Amino acid sequence: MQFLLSKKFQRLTRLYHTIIARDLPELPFDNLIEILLVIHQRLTNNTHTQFAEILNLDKSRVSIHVEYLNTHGFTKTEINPEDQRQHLTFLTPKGEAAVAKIEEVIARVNKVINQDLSLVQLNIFYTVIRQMEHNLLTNLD
Amino acid sequence: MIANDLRRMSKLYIKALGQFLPPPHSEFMAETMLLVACSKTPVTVERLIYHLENDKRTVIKLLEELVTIGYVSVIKVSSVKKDDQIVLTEIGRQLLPQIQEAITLTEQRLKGKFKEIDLKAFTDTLLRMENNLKPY
Repeated sequence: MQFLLSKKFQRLTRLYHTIIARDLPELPFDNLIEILLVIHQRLTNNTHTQFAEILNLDKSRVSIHVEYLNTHGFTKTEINPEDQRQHLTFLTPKGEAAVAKIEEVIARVNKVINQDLSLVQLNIFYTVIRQMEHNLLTNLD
Repeated sequence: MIANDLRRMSKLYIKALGQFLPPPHSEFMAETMLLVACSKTPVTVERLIYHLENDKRTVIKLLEELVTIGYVSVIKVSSVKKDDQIVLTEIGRQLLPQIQEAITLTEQRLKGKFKEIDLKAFTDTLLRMENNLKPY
């Protein structure tokens, strides 16, 4: 029977997140971790729309996650004084501390996942995955 | 995080596959139809839930959709919903070549002009990563 390749990707993604989530029980959803990292890395102006674009999520889902992060004290959201329609989200000291822990856990899990894999193998892996993404994107409507 | 790359790839793959699949253009439909077609023993709802790695409610909803559009029918064997057996209808059987073709086309598109050796290295690494994480 033919198995979809997406299934293999999903299985590994789930496994990876399950292990990370075990060490970060206060952040039960992978998207919460990702939003905190995006804010920390200053990839955007930290609006919901930008989180949705970067993380490939619905804006409504981003709003739910940001609300969770705000309620639990990891972030705070303020109205952009330059554009009152925009809400900007920032890390609180608790959020900064969580990011440090997240990075530590990710580094540990990455070490495990890359065990016994050479740099050459990893380079081929990431080159192939980037090219696959490009192949699919150029043909999508 | 590597998980982000994989999740993005998975979403793109599903989107690309959906362009070739017959309605309702979902990968769950393709997986269900292929499982039922290839299985030597009756496929129950319970087995489908396990195979799709999804929650019961979502799978039952999908199944109802497939019954409504006439691709499968459900045979009741006991009062327990999870024991219901899924069989392909004539319409469903006729769609199988189209589903296979959709998967082939998507994988061709995904792989592009890669050398076989690089693709093998990629899948070997993917498997190794999974095995590395499993004991944890």
